[in-house]
Amino acid sequence: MIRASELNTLQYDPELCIGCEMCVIVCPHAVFAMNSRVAQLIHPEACMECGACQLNCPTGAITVESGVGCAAAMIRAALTGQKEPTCSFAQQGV
Amino acid sequence: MRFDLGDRLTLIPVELVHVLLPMLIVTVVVFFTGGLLASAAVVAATLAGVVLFPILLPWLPTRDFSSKGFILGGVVALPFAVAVFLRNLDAAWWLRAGRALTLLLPLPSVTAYLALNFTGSTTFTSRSGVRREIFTYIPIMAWMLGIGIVLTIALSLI
Repeated sequence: MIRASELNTLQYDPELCIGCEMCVIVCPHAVFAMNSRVAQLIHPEACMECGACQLNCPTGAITVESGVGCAAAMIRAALTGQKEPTCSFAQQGV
Repeated sequence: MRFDLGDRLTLIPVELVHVLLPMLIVTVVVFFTGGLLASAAVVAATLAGVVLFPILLPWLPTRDFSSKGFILGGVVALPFAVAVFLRNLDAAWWLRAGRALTLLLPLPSVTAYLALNFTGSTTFTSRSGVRREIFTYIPIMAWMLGIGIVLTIALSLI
């Protein structure tokens, strides 16, 4: 629909998948679906880089550069050299 | 994942709270430097970005939020620019055109910037997409705003 929703950094290695289905459960955009034993990417273009799949994948099969996607925060971070804010508890060390 | 009109309307007060104080300051400054029409145009461009944009999001043409904002901001700024152009018909045409440009250049970039920031509120835009929009459109917004301000100062000296 909109270009900002079609660009993403989602990477998935099916070789590492153990079929726990967590990515299928947590993804808000149904990017993943089960294909018999392992998950498969069915709508990678719908990924909004929330990071939920990476956070919940027990084997590290999924990587994505997640962030809040707030333009003002990203510009501020770029200008001041600070880290971008994030919603991910793992990245915040919580 | 839905993001319907009701969801977008809910977000408008949040966006408004963020821009209210900066908008008031700029409006007061513009009122004393450019007059009532120019300050009303600032309010219109800002409200277009934080109120109209979320409502009209699916129906605005183009795919990027920033270009959608430029279009909406241009449409909102145009009547003000035309009003400025048609005012003081005794003045030279280039002077009236210049004054119209002091609204037509910076105001759409204000609306576009606010529109770009709405990506942070949506349920489908990605960080990578926003980053790409920032690199593509922020320089254009900065140039339009900068040229508009310089033109305003230059014309005030004539």
